[in-house]
Amino acid sequence: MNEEQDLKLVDDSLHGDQKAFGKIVDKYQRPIFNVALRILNNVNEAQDIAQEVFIKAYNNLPNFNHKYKLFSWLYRIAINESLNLQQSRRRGEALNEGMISGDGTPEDILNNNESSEMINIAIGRLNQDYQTVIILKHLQGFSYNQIGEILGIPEKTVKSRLFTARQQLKDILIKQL
Amino acid sequence: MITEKQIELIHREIDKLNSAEESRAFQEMLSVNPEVKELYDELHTLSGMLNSVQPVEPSPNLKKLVLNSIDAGRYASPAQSSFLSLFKPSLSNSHTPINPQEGFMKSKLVISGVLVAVIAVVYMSFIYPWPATNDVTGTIGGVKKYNSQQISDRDVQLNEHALTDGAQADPEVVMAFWKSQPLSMRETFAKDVNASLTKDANASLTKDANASLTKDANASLTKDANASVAKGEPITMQKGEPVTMQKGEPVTMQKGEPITMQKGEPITMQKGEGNTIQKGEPITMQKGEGNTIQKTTELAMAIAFWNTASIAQKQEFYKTFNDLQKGEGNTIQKGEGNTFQKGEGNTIQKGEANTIQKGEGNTIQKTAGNEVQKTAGNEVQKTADHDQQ
Repeated sequence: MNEEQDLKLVDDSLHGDQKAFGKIVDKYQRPIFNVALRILNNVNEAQDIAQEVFIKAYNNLPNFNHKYKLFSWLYRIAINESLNLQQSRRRGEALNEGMISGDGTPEDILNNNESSEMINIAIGRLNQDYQTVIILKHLQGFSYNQIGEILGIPEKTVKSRLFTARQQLKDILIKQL
Repeated sequence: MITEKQIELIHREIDKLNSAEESRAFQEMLSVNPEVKELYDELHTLSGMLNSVQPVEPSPNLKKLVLNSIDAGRYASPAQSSFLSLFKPSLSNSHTPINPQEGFMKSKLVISGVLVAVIAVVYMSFIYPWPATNDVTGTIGGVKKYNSQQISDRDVQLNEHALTDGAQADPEVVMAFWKSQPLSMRETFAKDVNASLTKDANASLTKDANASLTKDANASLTKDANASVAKGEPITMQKGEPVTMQKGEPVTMQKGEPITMQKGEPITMQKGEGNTIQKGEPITMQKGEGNTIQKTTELAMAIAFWNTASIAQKQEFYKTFNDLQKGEGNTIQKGEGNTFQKGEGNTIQKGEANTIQKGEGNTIQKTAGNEVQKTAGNEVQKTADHDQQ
């Protein structure tokens, strides 16, 4: 992530350059959409959340604190919006339990077309703190430090949550199998 | 039993955070501790599964949807946004942190402005002494552009009904009657008249004004005002300062504070308190309390005094007014019951029953029934039946 470039785009947007904000959307729409998708496990909802994230970001550009990185700010908005939506509906209703079936090792699941959805469902069963660290670490590839910046928590807490999340996720998957 | 340190080593190995030395030590540990190895294998597999999940492409319309949803004009150019920058933390200097003191001063400025506005609104709403609604309605009716003469004595007609009799009398007589009174008495009377004007005017205002409001003012508004002013809507005047009314539409005057009317067209005043009327054109005062009435002329005062006098007083004054006093060489015409005193050389013509006293050398002409008393040397001409005493 080119932080200087991001700040320039923010400044240009604040000066009425809509194209600059379009570049921000270009740059971050894919990861933002995927974060929402992994949390919500619903493409349409993720699409709506992604759109909402950028609109909110645009409207609140003057409040953007340069202490943070733009991507951290956008991710935080996306996670909060997604978790809020997730909380507003009953998590279990959106899950299609019937799709989880059959025997197999993790390796089998890895090679299965349905493995991604199974993982998403398993992630959905974690509590929200663990969900986010798993998603940010494994599905977005952020470091402990970056995760801490996005979530506003110490790196030590990130590690602790991540270790616990992995253990719980493993247990959920094994239980599903 | 797996220790916390071993668990951390497992996760760090999965996340590839262990150094080469730590990785070697971890591999040795796996070979001697199957429990650690089992946990590592499970977590490593899980990590592989998670990392294998491919990102999904968002809708190609996402960007378009976003850009169509945002307010393109929300952020203006730097020059246009300079004022707004007072209210919003600007990112235009994003590479240089905002000076906290500067931000504080801006906030202070905005807060102060808002505070002043709130105080002003509260003051005007709850403290400022706006007059009560029923105290402020009034009408300037019949607004027509015309040239009228300046006010004359008779233009200001106050308590007119009480002065009617005197007004119909001969002004010369009334004025003479007034001036025949001692100065002290006139001053006292004038004082009383002014007091009664204040009182009477108020009384008539209470009654007449409301009546005219209901009928005359509204009627004139409907007809005259609207005729001269196209669909004029009521105008509310505030702080009745000297007003030059042009094309005045029906006007509702508020806050009837002392008002000096200049160039006023026919005006109906309501609730005027302490109004000073100057150069007013014909004015009907309503509800005026404490109005100062100027140009209360001496004639008006004399008329008022005349009206207070009894009929007998007026008749006596008329008689006295006709008396000849100390006249020398006067010619008396049409006199009835005249008394000549100390007249010398007076000529009495057509007089009947005149009494000539102490007159010397008076000539009585064509007079029948005249009585000449104590008069020596009076000459009676062509008169047959004069009594000679």
